[in-house]
Amino acid sequence: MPSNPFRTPHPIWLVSSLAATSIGLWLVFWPPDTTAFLLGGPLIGLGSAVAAAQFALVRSLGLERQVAPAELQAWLKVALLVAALAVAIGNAGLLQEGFAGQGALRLGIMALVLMVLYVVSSSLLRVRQGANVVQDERDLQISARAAAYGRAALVFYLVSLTVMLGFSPPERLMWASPPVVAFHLLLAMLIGWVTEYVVILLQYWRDRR
Amino acid sequence: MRGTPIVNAIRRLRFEQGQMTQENLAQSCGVTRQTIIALEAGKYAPSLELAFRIARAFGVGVEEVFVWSDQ
Repeated sequence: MPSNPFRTPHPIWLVSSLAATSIGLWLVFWPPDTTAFLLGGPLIGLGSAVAAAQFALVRSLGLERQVAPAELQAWLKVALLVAALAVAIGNAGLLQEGFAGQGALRLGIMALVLMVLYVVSSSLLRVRQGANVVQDERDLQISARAAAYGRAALVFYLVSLTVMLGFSPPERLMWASPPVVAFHLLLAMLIGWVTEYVVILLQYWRDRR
Repeated sequence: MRGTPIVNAIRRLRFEQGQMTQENLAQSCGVTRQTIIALEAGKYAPSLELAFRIARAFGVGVEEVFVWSDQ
């Protein structure tokens, strides 16, 4: 009977398929001038399918023994939010025409792709964890502490933006069109979330030392 | 992390209870294995409820598992 190719001692399929998915995402989100961007969709599809297969079939990647379920979810959220930040900043020019324009539509599609990837990955993680406890009182305590840091980052960004808009002479605020200000509010929200989940990861890392 | 002034005998009690694994203790207390690891390493002080759950899992009183240490 042929052995299952996914049951390897090392998660080689998982790592290579995640790399393929990342390249696919890169081609879709930042398409090159050549026709290579056509490979983006198939790479995402094939890469995520193979990654999901190995992730679902191989029971011991060693992750569950090292990392708390809530920490794995935090890693996933950081990856999603950093990708969202990169997309938002990398395509900031598209928003110049306002949220009703084609640029905003393209950004919306990218955000949707990221959300679908997050929901699928997050569900896979939950399936792997089965009936085990996924969050306990220590996770909640860590999460509450990190939320305070996230709020602080959000408030800092908003206060800085408010002071800049309120105290700058009008001739120096030509760039501050309503869509750009809206974009900064979106950035403030993303930075608050990224701060929160990075602080969560730092606390788990510190507890392991 | 500075740790907590509450020291515990979880590791010793696990071995006295027939090599109870961290996973088994975690399941019987309704927490993750990583929380048991953090408790044993003195990185986390449990809530009163969790302290009682751990003590019950070993069949002993809370004061036999957790001790306040001034040092």
